[in-house]
Amino acid sequence: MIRLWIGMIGLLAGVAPALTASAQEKYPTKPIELIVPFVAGASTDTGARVVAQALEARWGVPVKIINKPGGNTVPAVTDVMTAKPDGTIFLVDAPPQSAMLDTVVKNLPFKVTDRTFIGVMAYTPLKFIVHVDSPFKSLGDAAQALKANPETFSWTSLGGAGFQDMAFRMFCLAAGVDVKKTRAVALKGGAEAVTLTAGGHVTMGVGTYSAIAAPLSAGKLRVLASASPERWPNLPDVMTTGEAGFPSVQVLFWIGISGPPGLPAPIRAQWEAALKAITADPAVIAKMANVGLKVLYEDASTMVARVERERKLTQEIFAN
Amino acid sequence: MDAGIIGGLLNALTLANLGFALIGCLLGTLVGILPGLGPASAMAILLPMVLYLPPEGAIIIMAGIYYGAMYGGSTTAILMNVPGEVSSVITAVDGFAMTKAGRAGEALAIAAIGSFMAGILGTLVIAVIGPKVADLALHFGPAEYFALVLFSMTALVSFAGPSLLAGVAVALFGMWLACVGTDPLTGTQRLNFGTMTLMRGFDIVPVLVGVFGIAEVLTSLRENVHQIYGGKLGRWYAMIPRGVELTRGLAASVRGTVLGFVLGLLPGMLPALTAYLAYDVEKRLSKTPERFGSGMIEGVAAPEAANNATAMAGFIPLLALGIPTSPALAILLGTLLINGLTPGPMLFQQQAVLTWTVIGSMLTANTALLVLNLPLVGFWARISRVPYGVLGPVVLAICLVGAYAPRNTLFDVWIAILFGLIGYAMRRLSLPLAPLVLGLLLGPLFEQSLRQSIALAGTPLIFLQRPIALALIVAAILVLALTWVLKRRSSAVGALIKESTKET
Repeated sequence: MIRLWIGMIGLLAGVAPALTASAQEKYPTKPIELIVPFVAGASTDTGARVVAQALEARWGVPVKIINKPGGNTVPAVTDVMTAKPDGTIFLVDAPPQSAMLDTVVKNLPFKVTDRTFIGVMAYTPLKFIVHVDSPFKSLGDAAQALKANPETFSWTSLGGAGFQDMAFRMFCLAAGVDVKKTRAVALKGGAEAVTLTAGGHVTMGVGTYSAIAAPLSAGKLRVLASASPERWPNLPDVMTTGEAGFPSVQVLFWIGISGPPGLPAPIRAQWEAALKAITADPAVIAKMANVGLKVLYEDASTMVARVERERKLTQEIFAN
Repeated sequence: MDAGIIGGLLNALTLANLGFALIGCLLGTLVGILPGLGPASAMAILLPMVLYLPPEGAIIIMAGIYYGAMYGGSTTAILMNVPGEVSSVITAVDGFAMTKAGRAGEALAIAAIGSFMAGILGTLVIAVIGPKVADLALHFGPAEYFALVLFSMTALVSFAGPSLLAGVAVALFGMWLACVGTDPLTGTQRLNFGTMTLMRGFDIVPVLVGVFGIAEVLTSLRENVHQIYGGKLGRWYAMIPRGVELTRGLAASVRGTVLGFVLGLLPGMLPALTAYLAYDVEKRLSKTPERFGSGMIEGVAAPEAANNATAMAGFIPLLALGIPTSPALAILLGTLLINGLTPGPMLFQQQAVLTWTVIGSMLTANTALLVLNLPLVGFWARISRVPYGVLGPVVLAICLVGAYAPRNTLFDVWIAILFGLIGYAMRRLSLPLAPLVLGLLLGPLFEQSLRQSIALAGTPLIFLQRPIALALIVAAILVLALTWVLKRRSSAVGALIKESTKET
């Protein structure tokens, strides 16, 4: 019935996507659903939409984004884990629903590594930000204040479930401060974290480029460092964490695609080829850059290794 | 006036851009009428398609859907007591009462006129002061939000019904429902009894569809209603309010617009909440507060103007600071970004033509909405005369689909049915329904802002140290004290609280 409404709207708009699937290839012939475990409009979602549009053009079947937010991504991931591996349902993957999930949520109804990892498509590093009137001019200044008075140092937490916490905890480890002594302000999402920092309500915040771009241009924020190996192209003057003296603080938020457990090899091969081609397409690269993502292709085995590595790291970082 | 403004406004009048505005408005109205399918989900579904359009076309269509939905949400609320959007819940109270009295046309017309006024006034404010007031969004931290939530709770007195205690209990039930699921701040599981399905908590739409839509059908079945309104209806132009009714409606629209617009500048301020507050203000200002709930035109005009004004106001922090104040605006932000437009104060200068085209399209789109909607008033109003044997099953079907739509899960359909029964029982017990929705809306805001404030300052004293927060708390106490004194001194106000809750 909801399909019917969507169809009606599509017809009214006069831009309903071509439903004719190319019959020459064995896959895909049916519409594909990409499950995004976050709300529409967030980084993962906008990135997934760019990819969906490119896949639609390549395959000639509708590629739909279905947002199933909430529940620490568990309900959405469970839907994919229990789906038939027939190549119609996929998960838009990212650290919170893969590498971090079994540390953050105990007693998961599935094993994180059971899903069929297909590939990574893009990433964006987290950035440490402060209000423009903050006394901190560098990440070193922030570390000094953190060491001197951890109990008044407030920061934007996503309650342990989010990637932001990973960044701040790494920073605490590097500075030699117990994160429990600091003042974590738990928030609902990344956008709220940036707004709160831009309003000068917290000592330091964390955000991705797409979230900080506008308040930055409005002169409300200062970016202290980018937690990546290289400087971010849109912010050439902002130091990396390594340059700022904290080389161990590296936090890259990546997005990729995973399928249900036991996805047949031919379907996986089609997807790997598609992701590789799409991530090399200049139009996709440009659109990804618009939404604050940098294209990065990693094949299935590299992705598995990445998730394993980040899982171990998460367990260490969140041990205390 | 520089070239960008004139160029942009003229650009909004090109055939293509008028067309985009019209398509957006029509889709938005449709989405608004269907419960469950909110502007955010419709915009998300359409996003991949509009990416093929030129940037201004994409943004105009998206914006059209957004405010079109605010228009459409009131239609089913007024006609069938099924709010199409959460923001129209309170419109249903007096709107449906008007329908039952054969005044559906008037209610629909004043809702459209109120929305139009809010749309036009809102656009003018955006055009004139634009980015200058965007900073307000930043001054509101957790402490200020908590104080605002406390202040909003004083509205509960207006919705509580004959017994304030019962109203508060219902609101607490709503807040308790809001606790179920994953704690949005820490990810801890609450009250899910070890089940996966409850991890996501109760979405407001299935609850709403249940307690209003399904319970309404059940009640009508029991009362053996043949038609919502049995009398004759005139032509559509005879249904447009005139004279005193029109002046009262327009005055309420202006008050609703101002309130909705100012509060709409704050991130996280829901159109539904400003609609509630606007209704509360009308009731407090009215000389005959006891007649609210029995079909007062102000009770329709003010909330509809307020929710539209809130929707319009959200464009200011969005365009000037890149702060989306609602999920629908977050998608609009995504549309801007994918098209390579980064919001911020520079947007008005670097992309002057585009910015002013979008602002111009707000004027054309709102005008189009009014022109389209007024003649349709007669058509819609006739729904109140459809035999209930036909209308009831249709309403039920719309409700069940609406419950499924926001989260694509069958579980929510069961929730809607369960809350249909709960809503039916509450009506039988004469318990008010509006506080339930208010509790469900305010619960998460209350909890999160309180916890964040304490985490931020380490002490509850933060509410007394921050001037805006302190002022709001003092205002809340004053309003409550004033209500209490008036209630004791005037029997008329006492009668208000008794009678006003004959809400259906």
